[in-house]
Amino acid sequence: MSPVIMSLIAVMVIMCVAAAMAVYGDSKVLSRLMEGITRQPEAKDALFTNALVSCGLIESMPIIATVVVLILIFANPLLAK
Amino acid sequence: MDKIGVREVIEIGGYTFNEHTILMTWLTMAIVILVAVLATRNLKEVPTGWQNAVEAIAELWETQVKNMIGKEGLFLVPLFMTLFLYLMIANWLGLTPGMESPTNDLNTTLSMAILMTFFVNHGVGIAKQGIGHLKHFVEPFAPFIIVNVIEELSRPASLAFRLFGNILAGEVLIIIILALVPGVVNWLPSTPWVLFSIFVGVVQAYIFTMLSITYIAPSVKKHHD
Repeated sequence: MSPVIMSLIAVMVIMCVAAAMAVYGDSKVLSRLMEGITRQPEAKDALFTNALVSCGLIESMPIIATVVVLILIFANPLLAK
Repeated sequence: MDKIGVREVIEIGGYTFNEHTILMTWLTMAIVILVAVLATRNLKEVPTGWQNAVEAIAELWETQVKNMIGKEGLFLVPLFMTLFLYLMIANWLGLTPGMESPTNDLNTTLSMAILMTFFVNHGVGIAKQGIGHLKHFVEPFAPFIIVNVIEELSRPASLAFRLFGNILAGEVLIIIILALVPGVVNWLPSTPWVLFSIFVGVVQAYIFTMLSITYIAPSVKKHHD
Protein backbone atom coordinates (compact mmCIF):
# COMPACT_ATOMS: atom_id res chain seq x y z
CA MET A 1 0.00 0.00 0.00
CA SER A 2 1.24 3.45 -0.77
CA PRO A 3 2.40 5.73 2.03
CA VAL A 4 -0.54 8.07 1.35
CA ILE A 5 -3.14 5.40 2.02
CA MET A 6 -1.30 4.09 5.06
CA SER A 7 -0.93 7.59 6.46
CA LEU A 8 -4.67 8.16 6.02
CA ILE A 9 -5.54 4.90 7.74
CA ALA A 10 -3.22 5.85 10.59
CA VAL A 11 -4.89 9.28 10.79
CA MET A 12 -8.30 7.61 11.01
CA VAL A 13 -7.30 5.26 13.79
CA ILE A 14 -5.48 7.94 15.78
CA MET A 15 -8.31 10.47 15.64
CA CYS A 16 -11.03 7.94 16.50
CA VAL A 17 -9.17 6.63 19.54
CA ALA A 18 -8.06 10.11 20.67
CA ALA A 19 -11.55 11.58 20.45
CA ALA A 20 -13.18 8.59 22.17
CA MET A 21 -10.68 8.51 25.02
CA ALA A 22 -10.76 12.29 25.53
CA VAL A 23 -14.54 12.26 25.85
CA TYR A 24 -14.45 9.21 28.15
CA GLY A 25 -11.92 10.77 30.48
CA ASP A 26 -13.66 14.14 30.60
CA SER A 27 -17.03 12.50 31.21
CA LYS A 28 -15.72 10.73 34.32
CA VAL A 29 -14.56 14.03 35.80
CA LEU A 30 -17.68 15.96 34.83
CA SER A 31 -20.10 13.35 36.14
CA ARG A 32 -18.42 13.63 39.55
CA LEU A 33 -18.68 17.40 39.22
CA MET A 34 -22.43 17.13 38.73
CA GLU A 35 -22.70 14.89 41.78
CA GLY A 36 -20.64 17.29 43.84
CA ILE A 37 -22.71 20.30 42.84
CA THR A 38 -25.89 18.39 43.66
CA ARG A 39 -24.64 17.53 47.12
CA GLN A 40 -23.33 20.99 47.95
CA PRO A 41 -24.40 23.85 45.68
CA GLU A 42 -22.25 26.37 47.57
CA ALA A 43 -19.06 24.65 46.37
CA LYS A 44 -19.97 25.16 42.73
CA ASP A 45 -17.23 27.70 41.89
CA ALA A 46 -14.35 25.81 43.48
CA LEU A 47 -15.49 22.50 42.01
CA PHE A 48 -16.03 23.98 38.55
CA THR A 49 -12.60 25.61 38.44
CA ASN A 50 -10.89 22.38 39.46
CA ALA A 51 -12.96 20.41 36.94
CA LEU A 52 -11.90 22.69 34.09
CA VAL A 53 -8.25 22.48 35.07
CA SER A 54 -8.54 18.68 35.27
CA CYS A 55 -10.09 18.56 31.81
CA GLY A 56 -7.17 20.59 30.50
CA LEU A 57 -4.73 18.11 31.99
CA ILE A 58 -6.66 15.05 30.79
CA GLU A 59 -6.88 16.33 27.24
CA SER A 60 -3.16 16.86 26.87
CA MET A 61 -2.50 13.40 25.39
CA PRO A 62 -5.39 13.49 22.85
CA ILE A 63 -4.20 16.91 21.76
CA ILE A 64 -0.66 15.63 21.27
CA ALA A 65 -2.24 12.86 19.14
CA THR A 66 -4.08 15.55 17.16
CA VAL A 67 -0.82 17.36 16.49
CA VAL A 68 0.67 14.08 15.23
CA VAL A 69 -2.34 13.75 12.91
CA LEU A 70 -1.85 17.30 11.64
CA ILE A 71 1.78 16.55 10.91
CA LEU A 72 0.79 13.40 9.02
CA ILE A 73 -1.71 15.28 6.90
CA PHE A 74 0.13 18.51 6.13
CA ALA A 75 3.83 17.91 6.58
CA ASN A 76 4.15 14.18 6.14
CA PRO A 77 7.82 13.21 6.26
CA LEU A 78 7.17 9.81 4.69
CA LEU A 79 5.98 11.09 1.34
CA ALA A 80 8.44 11.84 -1.41
CA LYS A 81 8.93 15.57 -1.82
CA MET B 1 0.67 30.83 9.47
CA ASP B 2 -0.33 31.34 5.87
CA LYS B 3 0.27 27.76 4.88
CA ILE B 4 -0.10 25.02 7.45
CA GLY B 5 3.20 23.49 8.45
CA VAL B 6 5.39 26.08 6.76
CA ARG B 7 7.46 28.44 8.88
CA GLU B 8 9.50 31.27 7.48
CA VAL B 9 13.05 31.16 8.79
CA ILE B 10 15.93 33.60 8.97
CA GLU B 11 19.46 32.26 8.98
CA ILE B 12 22.04 34.29 10.86
CA GLY B 13 25.56 32.95 11.30
CA GLY B 14 24.56 29.36 10.69
CA TYR B 15 21.68 29.42 13.21
CA THR B 16 18.06 29.15 12.11
CA PHE B 17 15.43 31.46 13.58
CA ASN B 18 11.69 31.27 13.07
CA GLU B 19 10.82 34.76 11.94
CA HIS B 20 7.21 34.98 13.08
CA THR B 21 7.91 33.40 16.44
CA ILE B 22 10.53 35.98 17.33
CA LEU B 23 8.47 38.94 16.13
CA MET B 24 5.36 37.76 17.95
CA THR B 25 7.39 37.13 21.11
CA TRP B 26 8.60 40.73 21.01
CA LEU B 27 5.03 41.92 20.49
CA THR B 28 3.86 39.86 23.48
CA MET B 29 6.65 41.29 25.63
CA ALA B 30 5.63 44.82 24.61
CA ILE B 31 1.99 44.15 25.52
CA VAL B 32 2.92 42.66 28.92
CA ILE B 33 5.13 45.65 29.71
CA LEU B 34 2.32 47.97 28.60
CA VAL B 35 -0.16 46.20 30.91
CA ALA B 36 2.29 46.47 33.79
CA VAL B 37 2.89 50.19 33.19
CA LEU B 38 -0.85 50.87 32.92
CA ALA B 39 -1.52 49.00 36.14
CA THR B 40 1.14 50.62 38.28
CA ARG B 41 0.82 54.31 37.51
CA ASN B 42 -1.30 56.35 39.98
CA LEU B 43 -1.51 53.52 42.51
CA LYS B 44 -4.57 53.93 44.68
CA GLU B 45 -5.56 52.37 47.98
CA VAL B 46 -8.84 51.14 46.51
CA PRO B 47 -7.88 49.83 43.08
CA THR B 48 -9.78 50.71 39.92
CA GLY B 49 -9.36 49.88 36.27
CA TRP B 50 -6.10 48.21 35.16
CA GLN B 51 -4.75 48.10 38.71
CA ASN B 52 -7.83 46.18 39.80
CA ALA B 53 -7.45 43.55 37.09
CA VAL B 54 -3.75 42.96 37.68
CA GLU B 55 -4.30 42.90 41.45
CA ALA B 56 -6.88 40.14 40.91
CA ILE B 57 -4.26 38.08 39.09
CA ALA B 58 -1.68 38.83 41.79
CA GLU B 59 -4.11 37.73 44.52
CA LEU B 60 -4.94 34.55 42.60
CA TRP B 61 -1.30 33.48 42.42
CA GLU B 62 -0.52 34.63 45.94
CA THR B 63 -3.22 32.31 47.32
CA GLN B 64 -2.04 29.46 45.10
CA VAL B 65 1.57 29.83 46.26
CA LYS B 66 0.49 30.09 49.90
CA ASN B 67 -1.57 26.91 49.57
CA MET B 68 1.10 24.91 47.81
CA ILE B 69 4.37 26.21 49.24
CA GLY B 70 3.57 28.32 52.27
CA LYS B 71 4.87 31.69 53.30
CA GLU B 72 8.50 31.12 52.30
CA GLY B 73 7.50 30.80 48.66
CA LEU B 74 6.10 34.31 48.32
CA PHE B 75 9.27 35.58 46.65
CA LEU B 76 8.32 33.52 43.61
CA VAL B 77 4.89 35.10 43.07
CA PRO B 78 6.14 37.81 40.63
CA LEU B 79 7.71 35.08 38.50
CA PHE B 80 4.48 33.14 38.28
CA MET B 81 2.43 36.27 37.63
CA THR B 82 4.71 37.24 34.76
CA LEU B 83 4.60 33.70 33.39
CA PHE B 84 0.81 33.63 33.51
CA LEU B 85 0.40 37.07 31.91
CA TYR B 86 2.96 36.26 29.21
CA LEU B 87 1.37 32.91 28.34
CA MET B 88 -2.18 34.26 28.40
CA ILE B 89 -1.35 37.17 26.09
CA ALA B 90 0.79 34.91 23.89
CA ASN B 91 -2.05 32.41 23.50
CA TRP B 92 -4.56 35.16 22.75
CA LEU B 93 -2.31 36.85 20.19
CA GLY B 94 -2.95 34.13 17.62
CA LEU B 95 -6.65 34.83 17.60
CA THR B 96 -6.27 38.37 16.31
CA PRO B 97 -6.36 38.57 12.51
CA GLY B 98 -2.98 38.49 10.87
CA MET B 99 -1.02 37.41 13.94
CA GLU B 100 0.07 34.04 15.20
CA SER B 101 0.88 32.94 18.72
CA PRO B 102 4.51 32.57 19.69
CA THR B 103 3.38 29.50 21.62
CA ASN B 104 2.44 27.62 18.46
CA ASP B 105 6.16 26.96 18.11
CA LEU B 106 7.61 24.10 20.10
CA ASN B 107 10.76 26.17 20.69
CA THR B 108 8.86 28.71 22.81
CA THR B 109 6.96 26.21 24.93
CA LEU B 110 9.90 23.87 25.41
CA SER B 111 12.17 26.71 26.49
CA MET B 112 9.59 27.94 29.02
CA ALA B 113 9.10 24.42 30.34
CA ILE B 114 12.83 23.74 30.70
CA LEU B 115 13.26 27.14 32.36
CA MET B 116 10.57 26.35 34.94
CA THR B 117 11.31 22.72 35.69
CA PHE B 118 15.09 22.72 35.44
CA PHE B 119 16.67 26.14 35.92
CA VAL B 120 14.24 27.72 38.39
CA ASN B 121 13.58 24.44 40.20
CA HIS B 122 17.18 23.41 40.83
CA GLY B 123 18.36 27.01 41.03
CA VAL B 124 15.99 27.80 43.88
CA GLY B 125 16.75 24.45 45.51
CA ILE B 126 20.51 24.94 45.47
CA ALA B 127 20.16 28.55 46.56
CA LYS B 128 18.01 27.58 49.54
CA GLN B 129 19.59 24.31 50.61
CA GLY B 130 23.04 24.23 49.07
CA ILE B 131 24.30 21.32 47.01
CA GLY B 132 22.44 18.92 49.31
CA HIS B 133 19.31 19.72 47.33
CA LEU B 134 20.47 17.20 44.74
CA LYS B 135 20.09 14.47 47.32
CA HIS B 136 16.41 14.16 46.48
CA PHE B 137 17.37 12.15 43.41
CA VAL B 138 18.34 9.18 45.56
CA GLU B 139 15.40 9.35 47.96
CA PRO B 140 13.93 7.12 49.38
CA PHE B 141 16.69 4.69 48.41
CA ALA B 142 19.43 4.59 45.79
CA PRO B 143 17.85 2.61 42.89
CA PHE B 144 15.10 5.23 42.75
CA ILE B 145 17.46 7.46 40.80
CA ILE B 146 16.17 5.86 37.59
CA VAL B 147 12.56 6.70 38.39
CA ASN B 148 13.47 10.22 39.50
CA VAL B 149 15.49 10.94 36.35
CA ILE B 150 12.66 9.72 34.13
CA GLU B 151 10.26 11.91 36.08
CA GLU B 152 12.59 14.90 35.66
CA LEU B 153 12.68 14.36 31.91
CA SER B 154 8.98 13.76 31.44
CA ARG B 155 7.83 16.87 33.29
CA PRO B 156 9.13 19.54 30.87
CA ALA B 157 8.13 17.36 27.91
CA SER B 158 4.53 17.08 29.04
CA LEU B 159 4.31 20.77 29.95
CA ALA B 160 5.72 21.84 26.59
CA PHE B 161 3.69 19.50 24.42
CA ARG B 162 0.43 20.21 26.20
CA LEU B 163 0.64 23.95 25.56
CA PHE B 164 2.10 23.57 22.07
CA GLY B 165 -0.53 21.03 21.00
CA ASN B 166 -3.47 23.02 22.30
CA ILE B 167 -2.45 26.28 20.65
CA LEU B 168 -1.22 24.82 17.36
CA ALA B 169 -4.30 22.62 16.92
CA GLY B 170 -6.53 25.62 17.64
CA GLU B 171 -4.80 27.79 15.03
CA VAL B 172 -4.73 25.09 12.35
CA LEU B 173 -8.41 24.42 12.92
CA ILE B 174 -9.21 28.11 12.45
CA ILE B 175 -7.48 28.00 9.05
CA ILE B 176 -9.21 24.76 8.08
CA ILE B 177 -12.69 25.96 9.06
CA LEU B 178 -12.23 29.19 7.14
CA ALA B 179 -11.01 27.25 4.12
CA LEU B 180 -13.65 24.52 4.07
CA VAL B 181 -16.84 26.50 4.70
CA PRO B 182 -18.01 28.52 1.66
CA GLY B 183 -16.87 32.11 1.73
CA VAL B 184 -19.98 34.07 2.66
CA VAL B 185 -20.93 32.26 5.87
CA ASN B 186 -17.57 31.09 7.10
CA TRP B 187 -17.73 33.42 10.08
CA LEU B 188 -20.57 31.27 11.42
CA PRO B 189 -18.70 28.11 12.43
CA SER B 190 -15.39 29.84 13.04
CA THR B 191 -16.74 32.28 15.65
CA PRO B 192 -17.62 29.62 18.27
CA TRP B 193 -14.25 28.01 17.67
CA VAL B 194 -12.38 31.29 18.19
CA LEU B 195 -14.40 31.91 21.38
CA PHE B 196 -13.47 28.45 22.61
CA SER B 197 -9.83 29.16 21.75
CA ILE B 198 -9.93 32.25 23.97
CA PHE B 199 -11.07 30.00 26.82
CA VAL B 200 -8.42 27.39 26.00
CA GLY B 201 -5.73 30.09 26.01
CA VAL B 202 -6.55 31.13 29.57
CA VAL B 203 -6.94 27.56 30.84
CA GLN B 204 -3.65 26.39 29.33
CA ALA B 205 -1.76 29.38 30.75
CA TYR B 206 -3.29 28.65 34.16
CA ILE B 207 -2.43 24.94 33.96
CA PHE B 208 1.16 25.64 32.90
CA THR B 209 1.74 28.04 35.77
CA MET B 210 0.01 25.86 38.35
CA LEU B 211 2.01 22.80 37.36
CA SER B 212 5.20 24.88 37.55
CA ILE B 213 4.32 25.79 41.13
CA THR B 214 3.67 22.10 41.87
CA TYR B 215 7.05 21.11 40.45
CA ILE B 216 9.01 23.89 42.19
CA ALA B 217 7.26 23.45 45.56
CA PRO B 218 9.39 20.55 46.92
CA SER B 219 12.61 22.49 46.29
CA VAL B 220 11.45 25.47 48.31
CA LYS B 221 9.63 23.62 51.07
CA LYS B 222 12.07 21.03 52.15
CA HIS B 223 14.39 23.00 54.38
CA HIS B 224 11.90 22.72 57.24
CA ASP B 225 12.61 19.05 57.98
